[in-house]
Amino acid sequence: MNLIVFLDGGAALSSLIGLIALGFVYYSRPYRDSAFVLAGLLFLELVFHSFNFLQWRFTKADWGIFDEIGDLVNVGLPLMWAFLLYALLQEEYETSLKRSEMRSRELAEDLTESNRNLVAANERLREVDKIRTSFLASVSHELRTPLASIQGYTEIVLYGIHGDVNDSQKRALETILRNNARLDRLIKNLLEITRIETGRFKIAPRHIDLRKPLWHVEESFRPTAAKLLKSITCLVPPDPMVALADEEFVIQAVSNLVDNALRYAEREIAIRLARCDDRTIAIEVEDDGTVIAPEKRVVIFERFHRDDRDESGGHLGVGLAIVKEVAAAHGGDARVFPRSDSRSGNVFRWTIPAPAPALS
Amino acid sequence: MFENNELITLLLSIPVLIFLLRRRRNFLAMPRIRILIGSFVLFLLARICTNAEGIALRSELNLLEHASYFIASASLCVWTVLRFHDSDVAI
Repeated sequence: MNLIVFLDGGAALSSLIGLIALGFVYYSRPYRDSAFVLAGLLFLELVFHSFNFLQWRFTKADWGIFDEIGDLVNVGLPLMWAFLLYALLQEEYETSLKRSEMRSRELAEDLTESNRNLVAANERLREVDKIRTSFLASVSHELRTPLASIQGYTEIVLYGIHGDVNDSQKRALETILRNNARLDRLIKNLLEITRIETGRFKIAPRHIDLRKPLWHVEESFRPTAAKLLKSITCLVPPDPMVALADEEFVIQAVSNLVDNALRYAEREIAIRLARCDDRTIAIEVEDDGTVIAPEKRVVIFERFHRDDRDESGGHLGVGLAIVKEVAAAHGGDARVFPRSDSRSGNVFRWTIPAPAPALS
Repeated sequence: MFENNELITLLLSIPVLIFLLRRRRNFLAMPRIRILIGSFVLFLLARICTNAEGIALRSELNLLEHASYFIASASLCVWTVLRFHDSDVAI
């Protein structure tokens, strides 16, 4: 009996301590709903255990109305427990939600910061790119002036204006001219690529016979091809084939294609001009070198792309990019595919829209 | 014999236990919740003992009931105090 009195007294005391502790915090901190429910539960427990204590301590007493209050409190306890657990669960949801919101805000801030850094880095890159392009344009332009002078004086000497030249000297001078032309082509390509990058690339198309620029390219590359023990042939139709094009750029683009073909051809290079259909004319440069892998057939036209087949590494990787741009500027396209026969080799095809039948 | 209010209290406690069990995953994510759950389980045990003592083992079950009440109240008190000390989990 005494033990039960002790236990009930202890339970009442624990509830009282909890209630007092809760009271202290209530005045020092902003509270949530669960604190009020908990206070209610502790209070009911205090009343319940106090009544129990008193009942066991004074068993003979007649409790009357207090008994009924005790019964009510007894029934109220599980309800208070239910409210407390529900309130705690609700608060847990709210806390999780707040944490998620906070995390989202932090992530958004991080993202904004990263974006700001990216914009700054991009701005710096653009500045550097502008400087590089401007430098490239200036250098290319400055290099072309002495090249013209070298070509002029070499030709003067070659044609014997300053006196007779023997065969050995002639060959040396021709080599100078050939390499001078190559250097000129490279610089021209550099200039064009800077124009493309800065958006200043423009063509001046007019109706031209496409055979003429192709003959010109064949003529200019024949000595180089011969020197490399390779042959170059130009297969064009007997009648003029007119298209709306910029002759200078046609020469430059086809020169780039032939220059590329010379690098990889085993023996033969063919320049072809043919009408595909009523609407399209094709300029093709065919070589008999190693077939370009299918996955490389698109990237090969990208700027500064270096072909895996090139072992010497002696080119800039802009020639085919210029061909692509020139083709696009003329309203056509440039692509590469293997030769249709079973032999090795590639065909670089530039398609140009054919003018209306009346014009052609 | 059974007393009406004690039986009602027990019957009211059972849905609370079911709620607790069904949402146990959410409850167990809360810090120090095991003390509170322990307190409720002891409270329920006390209720069962109160009703069961009308059938058999009156004095033993009565003692167990009051011991359960005591430990349940002490646990609830401990949980309340611990929650106050934890600044991150203000009640």
